[in-house]
Amino acid sequence: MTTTTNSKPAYILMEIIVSIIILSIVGIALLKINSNQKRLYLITEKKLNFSRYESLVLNQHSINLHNKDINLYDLIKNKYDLKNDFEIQELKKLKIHYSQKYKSIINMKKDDKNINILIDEIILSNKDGVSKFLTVKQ
Amino acid sequence: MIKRGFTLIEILVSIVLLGLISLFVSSTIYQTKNNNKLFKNEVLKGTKRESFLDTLYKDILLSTDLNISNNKNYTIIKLLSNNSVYGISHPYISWLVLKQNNTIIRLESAKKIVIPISENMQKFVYIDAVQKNCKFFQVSLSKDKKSILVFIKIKKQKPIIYEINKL
Repeated sequence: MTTTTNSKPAYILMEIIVSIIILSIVGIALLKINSNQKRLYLITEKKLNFSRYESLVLNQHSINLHNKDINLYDLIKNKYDLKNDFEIQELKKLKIHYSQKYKSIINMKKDDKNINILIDEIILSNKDGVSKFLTVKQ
Repeated sequence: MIKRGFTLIEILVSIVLLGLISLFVSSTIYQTKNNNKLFKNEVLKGTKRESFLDTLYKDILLSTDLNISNNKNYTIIKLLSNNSVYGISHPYISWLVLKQNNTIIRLESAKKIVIPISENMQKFVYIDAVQKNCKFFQVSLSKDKKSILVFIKIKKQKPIIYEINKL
Protein backbone atom coordinates (compact mmCIF):
# COMPACT_ATOMS: atom_id res chain seq x y z
CA MET A 1 0.00 0.00 0.00
CA THR A 2 1.36 3.43 -0.97
CA THR A 3 0.37 6.85 0.39
CA THR A 4 0.61 10.03 -1.73
CA THR A 5 0.83 13.54 -0.35
CA ASN A 6 -0.61 16.52 -2.25
CA SER A 7 2.02 19.27 -2.08
CA LYS A 8 -0.09 21.90 -3.93
CA PRO A 9 -0.52 24.75 -1.43
CA ALA A 10 -4.01 26.25 -0.90
CA TYR A 11 -4.53 30.04 -1.02
CA ILE A 12 -4.02 31.64 2.35
CA LEU A 13 -6.58 34.05 3.78
CA MET A 14 -4.32 37.08 3.25
CA GLU A 15 -4.08 36.36 -0.51
CA ILE A 16 -7.85 36.09 -0.84
CA ILE A 17 -8.44 39.32 1.10
CA VAL A 18 -5.84 41.25 -0.91
CA SER A 19 -7.36 40.03 -4.21
CA ILE A 20 -10.88 41.03 -3.14
CA ILE A 21 -9.71 44.49 -2.04
CA ILE A 22 -7.81 45.08 -5.31
CA LEU A 23 -10.81 43.93 -7.36
CA SER A 24 -13.19 46.22 -5.46
CA ILE A 25 -10.87 49.24 -5.78
CA VAL A 26 -10.71 48.73 -9.56
CA GLY A 27 -14.50 48.29 -9.76
CA ILE A 28 -15.18 51.43 -7.73
CA ALA A 29 -12.70 53.44 -9.81
CA LEU A 30 -14.55 52.39 -12.98
CA LEU A 31 -17.88 53.43 -11.47
CA LYS A 32 -16.45 56.80 -10.45
CA ILE A 33 -15.23 57.43 -14.02
CA ASN A 34 -18.79 56.85 -15.17
CA SER A 35 -20.20 59.35 -12.68
CA ASN A 36 -17.60 61.97 -13.74
CA GLN A 37 -19.56 62.50 -16.97
CA LYS A 38 -21.96 64.83 -15.17
CA ARG A 39 -19.13 67.04 -13.91
CA LEU A 40 -17.67 67.25 -17.42
CA TYR A 41 -21.07 68.16 -18.86
CA LEU A 42 -21.51 70.96 -16.30
CA ILE A 43 -18.06 72.33 -17.17
CA THR A 44 -18.99 72.30 -20.88
CA GLU A 45 -22.23 74.12 -20.13
CA LYS A 46 -20.38 76.81 -18.15
CA LYS A 47 -17.95 77.25 -21.02
CA LEU A 48 -20.84 77.50 -23.48
CA ASN A 49 -22.53 80.22 -21.40
CA PHE A 50 -19.24 82.08 -21.21
CA SER A 51 -18.70 81.87 -24.96
CA ARG A 52 -22.18 83.36 -25.55
CA TYR A 53 -21.56 86.59 -23.70
CA GLU A 54 -18.06 86.81 -25.13
CA SER A 55 -19.74 88.00 -28.34
CA LEU A 56 -20.91 91.14 -26.51
CA VAL A 57 -17.38 92.01 -25.42
CA LEU A 58 -15.72 91.18 -28.72
CA ASN A 59 -18.14 93.39 -30.64
CA GLN A 60 -16.97 96.33 -28.48
CA HIS A 61 -13.28 95.45 -28.32
CA SER A 62 -10.92 98.34 -27.75
CA ILE A 63 -7.36 98.77 -26.50
CA ASN A 64 -8.77 101.19 -23.90
CA LEU A 65 -10.30 98.25 -22.08
CA HIS A 66 -6.93 96.59 -21.55
CA ASN A 67 -6.42 95.11 -18.08
CA LYS A 68 -9.86 96.10 -16.87
CA ASP A 69 -12.61 94.15 -15.13
CA ILE A 70 -15.71 95.13 -17.03
CA ASN A 71 -19.33 94.29 -16.37
CA LEU A 72 -21.52 93.70 -19.39
CA TYR A 73 -23.95 96.50 -18.57
CA ASP A 74 -21.26 99.19 -18.57
CA LEU A 75 -20.00 97.84 -21.84
CA ILE A 76 -23.28 98.01 -23.73
CA LYS A 77 -25.24 100.75 -21.96
CA ASN A 78 -24.43 103.28 -24.69
CA LYS A 79 -25.30 100.87 -27.44
CA TYR A 80 -28.69 99.68 -26.15
CA ASP A 81 -31.49 101.54 -24.47
CA LEU A 82 -32.07 99.09 -21.61
CA LYS A 83 -34.77 99.93 -19.12
CA ASN A 84 -35.66 96.72 -17.36
CA ASP A 85 -34.16 96.57 -13.84
CA PHE A 86 -33.84 92.80 -13.81
CA GLU A 87 -31.93 92.78 -17.08
CA ILE A 88 -29.65 95.61 -15.92
CA GLN A 89 -28.91 93.85 -12.60
CA GLU A 90 -28.11 90.55 -14.29
CA LEU A 91 -25.85 92.23 -16.83
CA LYS A 92 -24.04 94.06 -14.02
CA LYS A 93 -23.40 90.74 -12.29
CA LEU A 94 -21.53 89.39 -15.31
CA LYS A 95 -17.93 90.51 -15.14
CA ILE A 96 -15.12 89.74 -17.52
CA HIS A 97 -11.43 90.57 -17.28
CA TYR A 98 -10.28 92.07 -20.58
CA SER A 99 -6.69 92.00 -21.78
CA GLN A 100 -5.44 93.13 -25.19
CA LYS A 101 -1.78 92.82 -26.09
CA TYR A 102 0.30 93.40 -29.17
CA LYS A 103 1.16 90.03 -30.70
CA SER A 104 2.95 90.57 -34.02
CA ILE A 105 3.26 92.54 -37.25
CA ILE A 106 3.06 91.10 -40.74
CA ASN A 107 4.54 93.08 -43.63
CA MET A 108 2.93 92.63 -47.03
CA LYS A 109 3.51 94.19 -50.41
CA LYS A 110 0.58 95.08 -52.63
CA ASP A 111 0.91 97.18 -55.79
CA ASP A 112 4.38 98.33 -54.66
CA LYS A 113 2.93 99.53 -51.38
CA ASN A 114 4.02 98.26 -47.99
CA ILE A 115 1.13 97.18 -45.83
CA ASN A 116 1.60 96.48 -42.14
CA ILE A 117 -0.92 94.18 -40.54
CA LEU A 118 -1.06 94.39 -36.76
CA ILE A 119 -2.16 91.36 -34.84
CA ASP A 120 -3.39 91.77 -31.27
CA GLU A 121 -4.28 89.06 -28.82
CA ILE A 122 -7.42 89.49 -26.73
CA ILE A 123 -7.83 87.39 -23.60
CA LEU A 124 -11.22 87.27 -21.89
CA SER A 125 -11.47 85.54 -18.54
CA ASN A 126 -13.66 85.08 -15.50
CA LYS A 127 -14.55 82.24 -13.14
CA ASP A 128 -16.41 80.38 -15.91
CA GLY A 129 -13.55 80.21 -18.39
CA VAL A 130 -10.77 81.77 -20.42
CA SER A 131 -10.80 82.49 -24.16
CA LYS A 132 -8.18 83.86 -26.51
CA PHE A 133 -8.83 85.70 -29.76
CA LEU A 134 -6.73 87.42 -32.38
CA THR A 135 -7.66 90.76 -33.94
CA VAL A 136 -6.27 91.90 -37.23
CA LYS A 137 -5.99 95.53 -38.25
CA GLN A 138 -4.13 97.45 -40.90
CA MET B 1 -3.40 13.21 1.99
CA ILE B 2 -3.50 16.11 4.41
CA LYS B 3 -6.31 18.47 3.51
CA ARG B 4 -6.38 21.65 5.54
CA GLY B 5 -9.59 23.68 5.39
CA PHE B 6 -10.23 27.28 6.52
CA THR B 7 -10.73 27.85 10.22
CA LEU B 8 -13.95 29.40 11.55
CA ILE B 9 -12.19 32.70 12.31
CA GLU B 10 -10.88 32.96 8.72
CA ILE B 11 -14.34 32.37 7.27
CA LEU B 12 -15.92 34.89 9.66
CA VAL B 13 -13.33 37.55 8.81
CA SER B 14 -13.86 36.94 5.06
CA ILE B 15 -17.66 37.20 5.40
CA VAL B 16 -17.37 40.47 7.35
CA LEU B 17 -14.97 41.95 4.79
CA LEU B 18 -17.11 40.82 1.86
CA GLY B 19 -20.17 42.30 3.53
CA LEU B 20 -18.46 45.65 4.04
CA ILE B 21 -17.20 45.75 0.45
CA SER B 22 -20.55 44.76 -1.06
CA LEU B 23 -22.27 47.44 1.06
CA PHE B 24 -19.85 50.05 -0.26
CA VAL B 25 -20.12 48.82 -3.86
CA SER B 26 -23.93 48.72 -3.79
CA SER B 27 -24.12 52.31 -2.48
CA THR B 28 -21.72 53.42 -5.24
CA ILE B 29 -23.80 51.62 -7.90
CA TYR B 30 -26.97 53.27 -6.59
CA GLN B 31 -25.30 56.69 -6.58
CA THR B 32 -23.96 56.19 -10.11
CA LYS B 33 -27.37 55.09 -11.40
CA ASN B 34 -28.94 58.16 -9.81
CA ASN B 35 -26.23 60.42 -11.26
CA ASN B 36 -26.72 58.93 -14.70
CA LYS B 37 -30.46 59.53 -14.51
CA LEU B 38 -29.94 63.19 -13.53
CA PHE B 39 -27.22 63.54 -16.16
CA LYS B 40 -29.50 62.13 -18.87
CA ASN B 41 -32.22 64.64 -17.93
CA GLU B 42 -29.70 67.50 -17.96
CA VAL B 43 -28.39 66.50 -21.39
CA LEU B 44 -31.92 66.23 -22.80
CA LYS B 45 -32.85 69.63 -21.40
CA GLY B 46 -29.58 71.12 -22.70
CA THR B 47 -30.03 69.69 -26.19
CA LYS B 48 -33.60 71.02 -26.37
CA ARG B 49 -32.49 74.46 -25.16
CA GLU B 50 -29.58 74.65 -27.61
CA SER B 51 -31.85 73.68 -30.46
CA PHE B 52 -34.35 76.46 -29.63
CA LEU B 53 -31.58 79.05 -29.17
CA ASP B 54 -30.12 78.04 -32.51
CA THR B 55 -33.50 78.48 -34.22
CA LEU B 56 -34.03 81.90 -32.60
CA TYR B 57 -30.52 82.95 -33.62
CA LYS B 58 -31.05 81.92 -37.26
CA ASP B 59 -34.54 83.46 -37.39
CA ILE B 60 -33.16 86.84 -36.31
CA LEU B 61 -29.93 86.63 -38.27
CA LEU B 62 -31.74 85.85 -41.52
CA SER B 63 -34.64 88.23 -40.93
CA THR B 64 -35.55 90.82 -43.51
CA ASP B 65 -38.18 92.62 -41.48
CA LEU B 66 -38.06 92.70 -37.69
CA ASN B 67 -40.64 94.03 -35.30
CA ILE B 68 -40.01 93.96 -31.55
CA SER B 69 -42.56 94.93 -28.92
CA ASN B 70 -41.36 94.87 -25.32
CA ASN B 71 -43.59 94.35 -22.31
CA LYS B 72 -42.31 94.32 -18.74
CA ASN B 73 -40.57 90.93 -18.80
CA TYR B 74 -41.50 89.49 -22.14
CA THR B 75 -40.93 90.50 -25.74
CA ILE B 76 -43.07 89.65 -28.74
CA ILE B 77 -41.00 89.32 -31.91
CA LYS B 78 -42.62 89.36 -35.33
CA LEU B 79 -40.35 88.85 -38.28
CA LEU B 80 -40.07 87.86 -41.86
CA SER B 81 -37.12 85.53 -42.21
CA ASN B 82 -35.26 83.34 -44.65
CA ASN B 83 -34.97 80.65 -41.99
CA SER B 84 -37.68 78.01 -41.90
CA VAL B 85 -38.11 74.87 -39.82
CA TYR B 86 -41.01 73.65 -42.00
CA GLY B 87 -39.62 74.34 -45.47
CA ILE B 88 -41.68 77.50 -46.06
CA SER B 89 -40.03 80.00 -48.34
CA HIS B 90 -39.64 83.38 -46.60
CA PRO B 91 -42.03 82.61 -43.71
CA TYR B 92 -43.69 84.92 -41.18
CA ILE B 93 -42.36 84.02 -37.73
CA SER B 94 -43.40 85.12 -34.25
CA TRP B 95 -41.82 84.46 -30.86
CA LEU B 96 -43.75 85.08 -27.68
CA VAL B 97 -44.25 83.82 -24.12
CA LEU B 98 -47.57 82.26 -23.11
CA LYS B 99 -49.01 82.89 -19.64
CA GLN B 100 -49.59 79.14 -19.28
CA ASN B 101 -46.40 77.74 -17.66
CA ASN B 102 -44.57 80.81 -19.03
CA THR B 103 -43.88 78.84 -22.19
CA ILE B 104 -41.89 80.35 -25.06
CA ILE B 105 -43.61 79.52 -28.33
CA ARG B 106 -42.55 79.91 -31.94
CA LEU B 107 -45.14 80.45 -34.66
CA GLU B 108 -44.32 79.94 -38.32
CA SER B 109 -46.62 80.50 -41.25
CA ALA B 110 -46.66 81.33 -44.93
CA LYS B 111 -49.36 83.92 -44.14
CA LYS B 112 -49.00 87.00 -41.97
CA ILE B 113 -49.52 86.07 -38.31
CA VAL B 114 -52.02 88.14 -36.35
CA ILE B 115 -52.07 87.57 -32.58
CA PRO B 116 -54.43 86.28 -31.14
CA ILE B 117 -54.68 83.68 -33.87
CA SER B 118 -58.17 83.24 -35.27
CA GLU B 119 -59.69 79.76 -35.76
CA ASN B 120 -59.46 80.09 -39.54
CA MET B 121 -55.80 81.00 -39.30
CA GLN B 122 -54.87 78.13 -36.93
CA LYS B 123 -54.59 75.56 -39.73
CA PHE B 124 -51.98 77.70 -41.50
CA VAL B 125 -49.71 78.23 -38.49
CA TYR B 126 -47.11 75.81 -37.14
CA ILE B 127 -46.91 76.24 -33.37
CA ASP B 128 -43.94 74.96 -31.34
CA ALA B 129 -43.74 75.17 -27.56
CA VAL B 130 -39.98 75.42 -27.21
CA GLN B 131 -39.24 76.15 -23.56
CA LYS B 132 -41.24 76.12 -20.34
CA ASN B 133 -40.70 78.14 -17.14
CA CYS B 134 -39.34 81.25 -18.83
CA LYS B 135 -38.93 84.05 -16.27
CA PHE B 136 -37.62 86.64 -18.67
CA PHE B 137 -37.48 86.91 -22.45
CA GLN B 138 -36.23 90.23 -23.71
CA VAL B 139 -34.94 91.11 -27.17
CA SER B 140 -33.58 94.62 -27.68
CA LEU B 141 -32.56 96.40 -30.83
CA SER B 142 -29.45 98.57 -30.62
CA LYS B 143 -29.69 102.33 -31.14
CA ASP B 144 -27.99 102.04 -34.54
CA LYS B 145 -30.41 99.16 -35.40
CA LYS B 146 -27.54 96.93 -36.48
CA SER B 147 -27.35 94.55 -33.52
CA ILE B 148 -29.83 92.65 -31.42
CA LEU B 149 -29.37 91.71 -27.77
CA VAL B 150 -31.11 88.53 -26.61
CA PHE B 151 -31.62 87.97 -22.89
CA ILE B 152 -33.42 84.86 -21.69
CA LYS B 153 -33.80 83.62 -18.13
CA ILE B 154 -35.21 80.17 -17.52
CA LYS B 155 -36.20 79.14 -13.99
CA LYS B 156 -33.27 77.58 -12.05
CA GLN B 157 -30.84 78.23 -14.89
CA LYS B 158 -28.18 80.84 -15.57
CA PRO B 159 -29.28 83.69 -17.87
CA ILE B 160 -28.62 83.23 -21.57
CA ILE B 161 -27.22 86.41 -23.14
CA TYR B 162 -25.94 86.90 -26.63
CA GLU B 163 -25.70 89.48 -29.35
CA ILE B 164 -26.58 89.06 -33.01
CA ASN B 165 -25.18 91.36 -35.64
CA LYS B 166 -27.62 91.69 -38.50
CA LEU B 167 -26.38 90.70 -41.93
